[in-house]
Amino acid sequence: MTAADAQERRLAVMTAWAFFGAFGVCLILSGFSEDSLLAGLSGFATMIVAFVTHVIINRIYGADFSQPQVALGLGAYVVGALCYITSVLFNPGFGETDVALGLVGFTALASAFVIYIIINYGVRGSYQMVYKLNGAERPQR
Amino acid sequence: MTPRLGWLFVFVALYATYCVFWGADSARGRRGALDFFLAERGLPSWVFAASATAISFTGWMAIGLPATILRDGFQASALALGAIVIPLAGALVVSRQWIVSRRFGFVTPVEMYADYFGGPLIRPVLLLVALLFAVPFLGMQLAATGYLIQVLSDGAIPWALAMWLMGALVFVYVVLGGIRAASFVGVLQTLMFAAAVVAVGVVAWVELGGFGNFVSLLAKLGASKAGDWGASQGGYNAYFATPGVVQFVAGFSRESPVGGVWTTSMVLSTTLSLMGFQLAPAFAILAFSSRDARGFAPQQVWLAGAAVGFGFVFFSVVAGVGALFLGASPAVEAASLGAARDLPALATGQEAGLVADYLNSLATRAPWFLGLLAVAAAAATQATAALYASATGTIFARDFYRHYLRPEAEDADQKLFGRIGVGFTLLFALVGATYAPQAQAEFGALALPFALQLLPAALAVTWLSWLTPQAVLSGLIAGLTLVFFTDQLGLTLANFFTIDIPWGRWPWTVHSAGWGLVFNVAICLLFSLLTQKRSRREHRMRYHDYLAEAAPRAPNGRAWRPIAWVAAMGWIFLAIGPGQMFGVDLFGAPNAGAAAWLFGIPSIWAWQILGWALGVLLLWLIAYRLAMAGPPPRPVELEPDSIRRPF
Repeated sequence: MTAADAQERRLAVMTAWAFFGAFGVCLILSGFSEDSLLAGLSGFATMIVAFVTHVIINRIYGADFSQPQVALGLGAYVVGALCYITSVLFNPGFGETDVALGLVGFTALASAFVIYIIINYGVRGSYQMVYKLNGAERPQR
Repeated sequence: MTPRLGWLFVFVALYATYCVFWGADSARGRRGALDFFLAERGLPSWVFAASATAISFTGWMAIGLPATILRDGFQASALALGAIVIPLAGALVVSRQWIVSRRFGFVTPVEMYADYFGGPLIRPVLLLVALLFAVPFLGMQLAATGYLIQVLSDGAIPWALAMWLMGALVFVYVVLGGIRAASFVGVLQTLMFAAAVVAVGVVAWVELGGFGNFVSLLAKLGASKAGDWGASQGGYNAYFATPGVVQFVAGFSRESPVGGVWTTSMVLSTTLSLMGFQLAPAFAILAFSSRDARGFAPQQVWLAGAAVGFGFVFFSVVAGVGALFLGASPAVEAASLGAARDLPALATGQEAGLVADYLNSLATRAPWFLGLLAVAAAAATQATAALYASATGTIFARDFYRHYLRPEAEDADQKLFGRIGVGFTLLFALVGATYAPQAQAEFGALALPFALQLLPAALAVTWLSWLTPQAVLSGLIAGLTLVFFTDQLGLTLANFFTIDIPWGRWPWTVHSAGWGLVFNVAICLLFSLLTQKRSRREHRMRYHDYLAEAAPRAPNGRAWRPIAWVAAMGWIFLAIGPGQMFGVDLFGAPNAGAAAWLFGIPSIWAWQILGWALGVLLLWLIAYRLAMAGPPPRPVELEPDSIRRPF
């Protein structure tokens, strides 16, 4: 990929996440604050749209997720999930709708990622990728 | 810190980071002046298509359209069809301008016009148009952002501070990355602009209690005479009726029209003035930057005409008319036709605060959305500000500094003066908006009408070789003069010199842009008949011969051309011209109630929606079927013995 193509791809990815990500987060917050499944799930769906857009952009430019992108995505997911778990445990105002919203939403996000991995690498390939990663790490210890 | 202020800071900070990142990223690799001015003619077509959309409409449409509809009702919502008229101008000329700029190496449209027409006068006149367009218009955009942030921060951030900060942000990323940064950031700004248009409509929709409720409120209002304009000449509520084809009143400061200002002649001349967005020198520079011509037609037909038009005719109309029932109109409230009091009452002249008031209504329930949508609305105005700052810097460096002061200026020198031009443009705009807002508003009102006066010049370069330089220049000067003296600034100036001009602003309910264009075209045609000179024609024919060879051609284009002419004239007559009068009650009288409305909505609104749908079809016919906005069949290479000195 040329430098110009890489810049173009970066622009497309950042724009997609800036737009869908911002609206997704706002909808999720509205879902939790107003006990609205519709708003909350729309927010998680918007995040999935951002992820799918990223995958399509990668396909157009013949690229894959970079390591910083994977780290940022997983980091954001873990922080979000931890906030959710903390709220479930310690926030007395967290109702059944909120619990259901978080469970469905975070599961849907994880499922989207797993489905992408399976579609992209196949079941065996996905398993081997994880196995090889572990195998590669072991000798270093 | 209140939650609303906190979220506002969060989203403004994220947005600022995004802008600065792209400014820095665009500047990497010690790029030269051609990159700063034109992104090395390498902007991807999708980047052009996306960023050109926000620039074509600006915050004026996102913020101003619902406000105008609130003030004047459905008679004003015909302005939503600007979503068709604006790209129509682009569909006619942008692709051919791009071919000419690439073939002959022009960096700015001023260079192109100056070379095509020749003579010493055209360049200073065009420089004047470019500067008069950019500086006050830019100041208006930034001031609107400042006011928006002041209202949404509940007064915690003064508008002047907000305006200067947002101006500084534009300065940073444009000075770093030039037009590349402006257009890269413009992609997100376009999405934000669309989101702002839709979101404001959705907020109105929710607060009105759904579509059924909205229609029943419209039926009650239609059956009454409530509203600032009372009844139309036809006896309907003036909010639901176009107030005639034309009213021969002296002008706004002298005599008010009956039943509202949006006669069909006013709608026609105002929507035509919006063509100025895509005829402005700044837009041409953005088009010159495009790597290829593949982005022009999708931008004009699908993004501007279809998508933005859809947002305007549905969401902006709901936001504007809906506000009448949500407490924004004291007259409707007084008639006990209001549904809720979610919005503060807005007296005549204060309607521009409507979008901010809608967003404010989210402050308690969803302060995060308030922060995000504030940035979305601001982004719509910032897109325009960034492009105009960049383009004016380019024109300053190329057409003033390099042409008049230092023709041998090197690459780095030109880039430096491009940056200085950006700085001066923003500085003048901000100082003007801070210390002379009234004067700036009067200057800013001339921006689009002035840009529209370039239409004959643009058509001469791209299509009409028989328009002579003398004719175009005379027409342009006449058009600019007419615009000046039929708008507020000229009247104020005449008043200052105690000259009594016997008309007010926009006499005969015709916008100053319309007056200017009529005289411009008439003089242009007449002088062209009288001043045909063979030598200059040969020079001009270099352009036209090349365009005849290289411009895109549609299969069976000759057969389709008369059909397109008839379709265009028919659409202009029916959708934005005198034919609007049919729409007032064709699908049911405004006072007959919802059951009598054929499409379940007021007839005038249905007519406008139909006008929008047919307008998209017309754009498609011109841009795709006739291939006027399409890419050339083979690559356009710089002429080897080009008279232009490329970088």
